[in-house]
Amino acid sequence: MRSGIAERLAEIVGERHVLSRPSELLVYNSDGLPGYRRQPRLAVFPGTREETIAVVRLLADEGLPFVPRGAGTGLSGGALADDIVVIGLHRLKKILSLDVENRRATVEPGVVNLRLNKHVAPHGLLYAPDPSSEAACTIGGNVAENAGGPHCLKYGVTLNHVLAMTVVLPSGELVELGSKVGERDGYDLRGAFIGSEGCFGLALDITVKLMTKPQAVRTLLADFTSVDQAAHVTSAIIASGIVPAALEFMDGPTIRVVEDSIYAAGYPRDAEAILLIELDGLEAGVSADLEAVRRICLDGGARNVKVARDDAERMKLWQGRKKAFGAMGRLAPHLIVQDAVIPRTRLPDILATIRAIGEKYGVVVCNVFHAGDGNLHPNIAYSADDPAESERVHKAMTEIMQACIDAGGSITGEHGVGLDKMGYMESIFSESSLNAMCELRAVFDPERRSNPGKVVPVHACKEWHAVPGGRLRMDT
Amino acid sequence: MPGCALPGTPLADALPGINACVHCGFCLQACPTYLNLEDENDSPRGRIFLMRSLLEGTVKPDDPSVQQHIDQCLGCRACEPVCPSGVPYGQLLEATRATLREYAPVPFVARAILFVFAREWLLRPAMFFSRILAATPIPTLLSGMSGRLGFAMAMLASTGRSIERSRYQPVMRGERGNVATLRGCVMDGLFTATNGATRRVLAVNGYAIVAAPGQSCCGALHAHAGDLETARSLARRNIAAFDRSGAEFIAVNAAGCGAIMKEYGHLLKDDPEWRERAASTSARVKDVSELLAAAGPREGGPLPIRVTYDAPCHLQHAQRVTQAPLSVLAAIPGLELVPLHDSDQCCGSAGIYNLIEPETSDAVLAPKLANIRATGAAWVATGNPGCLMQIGAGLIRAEIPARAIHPVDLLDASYAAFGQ
Amino acid sequence: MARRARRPIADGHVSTAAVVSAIKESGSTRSPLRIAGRSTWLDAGRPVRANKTLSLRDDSGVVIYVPGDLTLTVRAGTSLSEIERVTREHDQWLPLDPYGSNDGTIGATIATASAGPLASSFGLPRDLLLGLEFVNGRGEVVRGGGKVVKNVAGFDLSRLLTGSWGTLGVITEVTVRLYACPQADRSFVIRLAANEKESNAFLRPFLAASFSPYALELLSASAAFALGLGERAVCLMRFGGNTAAVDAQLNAVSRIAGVEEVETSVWEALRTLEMGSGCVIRVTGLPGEFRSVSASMLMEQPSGILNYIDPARGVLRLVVRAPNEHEESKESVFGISTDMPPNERVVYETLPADVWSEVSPSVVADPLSRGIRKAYDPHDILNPGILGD
Repeated sequence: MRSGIAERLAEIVGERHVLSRPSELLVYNSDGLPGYRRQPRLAVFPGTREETIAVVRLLADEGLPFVPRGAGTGLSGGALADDIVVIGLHRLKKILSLDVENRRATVEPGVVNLRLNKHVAPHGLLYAPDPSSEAACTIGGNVAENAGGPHCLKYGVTLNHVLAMTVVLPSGELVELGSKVGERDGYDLRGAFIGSEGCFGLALDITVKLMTKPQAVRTLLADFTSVDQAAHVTSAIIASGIVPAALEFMDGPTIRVVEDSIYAAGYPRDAEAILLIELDGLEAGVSADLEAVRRICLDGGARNVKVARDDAERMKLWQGRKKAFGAMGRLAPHLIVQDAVIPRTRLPDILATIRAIGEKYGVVVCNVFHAGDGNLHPNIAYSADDPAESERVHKAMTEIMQACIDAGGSITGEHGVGLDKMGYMESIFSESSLNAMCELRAVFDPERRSNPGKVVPVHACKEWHAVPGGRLRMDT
Repeated sequence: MPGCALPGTPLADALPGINACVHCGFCLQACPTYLNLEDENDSPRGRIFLMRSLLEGTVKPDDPSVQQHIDQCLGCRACEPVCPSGVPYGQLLEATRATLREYAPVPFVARAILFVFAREWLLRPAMFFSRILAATPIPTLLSGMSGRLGFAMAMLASTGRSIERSRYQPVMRGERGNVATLRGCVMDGLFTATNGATRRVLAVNGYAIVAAPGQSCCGALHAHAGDLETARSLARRNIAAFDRSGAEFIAVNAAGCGAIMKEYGHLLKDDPEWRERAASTSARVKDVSELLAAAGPREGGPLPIRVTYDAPCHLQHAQRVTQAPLSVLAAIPGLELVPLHDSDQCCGSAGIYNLIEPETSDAVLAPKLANIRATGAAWVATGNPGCLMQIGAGLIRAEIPARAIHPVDLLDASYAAFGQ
Repeated sequence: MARRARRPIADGHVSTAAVVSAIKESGSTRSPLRIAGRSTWLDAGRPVRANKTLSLRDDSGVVIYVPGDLTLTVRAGTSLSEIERVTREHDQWLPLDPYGSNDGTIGATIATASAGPLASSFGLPRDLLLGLEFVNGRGEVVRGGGKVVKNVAGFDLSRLLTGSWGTLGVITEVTVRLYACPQADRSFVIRLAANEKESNAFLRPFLAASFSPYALELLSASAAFALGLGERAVCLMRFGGNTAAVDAQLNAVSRIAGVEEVETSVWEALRTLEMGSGCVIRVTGLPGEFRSVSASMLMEQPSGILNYIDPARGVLRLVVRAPNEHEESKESVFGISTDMPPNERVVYETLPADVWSEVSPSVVADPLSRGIRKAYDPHDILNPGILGD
């Protein structure tokens, strides 16, 4: 360790907010996907914008690499720091301003997604991107991952809702990306930064667009005795042209694990699939769409189509869906969460393929996903202590991913590449495309000190073989 | 797990509960110590990770920082009702503390308190002394002092500030069955009036009160501190006493006591002789508000006061009782109930935590006091002695013109205003 | 996760190869290229230091269209009208209506990030774009984004290219999100009072009310007149969706003001109104700012100036219609530009060629933009000068 770096960080943020003991750094060795663990060397938690800038500048002066971290709820191993510094931004949790008339808010990166929504709700407003981890994840993390969520089907992902950011680049320099007050001409650096997974720097404040709460909201629960029927109904709803606010799919194993949990939502336990469909907008329009969707479901073989009677029931239906991933801890000690996207017409055949792959390897795949977007989340619960089982699980997942890629899909719809998906990048991007990504990154972070070793495999970056001083590890 | 580093310990037994955690992080924002200390080591997810690491051997049980983070947990269990995987966090914490006790003794203050609570012959005089002290102006005079003594004095002073009411004698009809009440240590020692009120309001609502002699401290404080053996022996004494009483229900007016008593079954699960008796006792334990809510409760006389309600952690998170105390307050005509922002957040009392981790406790209490001040209420109703004293002391020291009170005392005053 | 064997991806359409060779040749001779779609917008007058033009006019057509996916992949030279024709057959549409003619190409629309009245409800080009293919200044074929509706794989090159005016690469293929055609799609006008005070008294509460039109533009009296909508300033609205929703909104609006239905083709007329004008300026701002000042902007108009305001998006378009009288338009432009706050809110879309250098500084002068430009177009051969650089 460079002499005194911990002490110098402590001078900036206070001793209590620098961790250097290995036993205290352990809990920072993983994010929401604890199959990956990397032990950081140091963790520092700045409490103000100024402290954050000072920390980044100190690390820049010392040439030390770092990883920004929000709430550590990411699902791609993106916030892991391999023997380098973690900058935790969870203490930057002030909502800086709320402009009700113009429907926008400016927040610090550590503000929790749901807290922003609770803050703006009394004004009849909402922040649309609602990742299932909304109760824990931060807006800064959402920006880094370009987070989605069930309601992104109609309203779009983080990218579509962030107007501007103040960013501290890895060099310590401050830049304003996007515009808080209008539409800026020139390159869309805001767009380039969103989803850059912490590789381009740290957002210190984020200005987001808010929406007016829809006049009417209806949530339907349609249940099916076969996965195939539910998949066809999903495709039929999308093809009908109705744009639901959300269209979510849960299969039988997932339904039952949720019903065993504290978030039991009253899903029929004997169903093989349910669709959770939300329609919103003007009262008159929603009623008409509701009837159309109900008809599509029943024609497609739904046993029942139930409409939530009130907000309480609606919330319950949603809580079950949003907490499904967490509830899978009930099945086995370890969990692989996958994230892939396919063209929406391919849903029935890909789900059949996934089932066949599961059977081939003797693993149970739980499917809970954003069906309307074709964004799949096949999850497998297993025990990592059993090497044979682990191998089968990993082989099954690799085959599932390949099936999605072959269908013309993407390797990640909302979880990001992080560490987990790097191996797949070369199967969907050519060498020159990966190199273009490296070049873009090199502009923001020429020394590649911010979240090194993530997103794009290093060997794909032509130029970087020659870059001096690209230390991935801290000197000891 | 291949190769457990701490075989045969309570923590090793708790591995299935640890394995249920998928690291989703939904508990973070529910945890008062995480929100205040802002370090994941002081969050449920972080502590569970430390527990797992203890078993994996990647941290050692004598590591002081590990002990510190485990000690700093309030044990409020606010993480449990938000956990999709159903991690039994309270039980994991107790198992961890029991395991770590081998490597680091409980701090002296805590040890002394726990020693006294386990022994009635010491507890009675101690509580008597406290009660005498509380009846004098001394605690009020000293409550402004800085530091722990000042806070302790404020806690005592707060116990002398209940609501005035006239005496009434309820008619005992008993159509809803026999009830034995847990006297409790602090309730018996410092909130004697509340215990009386508990018996009266139960009687008014159709319960017949029966005696349960031989009962002792519930053992909650010991279990939370990891002294599971003492907790078990106290539990056995209580099980025997309540069995002898023949009561259908065991009414508890201290949320912390009720929570552990509802878990006697788990506490004694490895004791073949007591296992089943413990489970059946646990099934009969009810918070006093649950029994009252089941009976209505009967409406009383008007009490034109402004009240806010703060949910004790061990009532809402551990026992999952949320509506019953509100229905008790709703039975009082004229009472204006003002909602308390973040009423589901811990007040920082957490058993004897406020005496052992004063700084964190204060940090957790501060937003609670600010929220209470904002309600403008004259009374803060909460059904747990630790919370009553913690909030009560905070109100005195922050000079907020409100007093903490048990909901049962308010109902009792309402019945008194009615003449029954 | 097991590392996958490296597998070459066949990037690029046949005609991408033509773009690659054109760029490589330009690179080797250091002769810059002006990148053009169908050259419908070249009269925007943006200065480009190039003698050769690389046109994508012939590189058009659908690459992938599975209607049930509601996505469309086309070659960059495909015109908006062609996309409209193809999608209409399946009762779908691309709700992207940039000012200008529908003869313009999708590639140019993305490259210039051009939007129109529908943007306030369907989003800007960046919101409808799913992925693209481009050829950078070294002649390398690069893909950003994907062909599915949700995708976060890798850094977002497709957003980076959107609005880069061809300076980072020549867009050769584009994948966009489609929508089903609405059951009802109707347009209406409300005529505003002739005096500012009365007009404001109506507009402020009206614009704050909870309608959700597809589009809403406030047109100055001059613009309304040019469209044959009378001699007073108007509020032009478009409601779409299922019949019940459209009827409900129409009823709600009718209770507040007198509305008159107009042909939906009025929108295309509005978009092409500015064609041939010498100067178009876009001012962006907070929606609230436009709500409070819109009436005054609409009422006082020197002759030859049209303007339209999209208050939800926070955009004012100012069109100087004096195409043949160069001096007059130049004067007007100078006059207006001195009134404009000199900041990021003002975007000059069209100006007489010789005015550019005087009013519009480079919008890519910051170090990050310069660095990206240098990386993607190291020989400075792609549309040099077009961004004021």
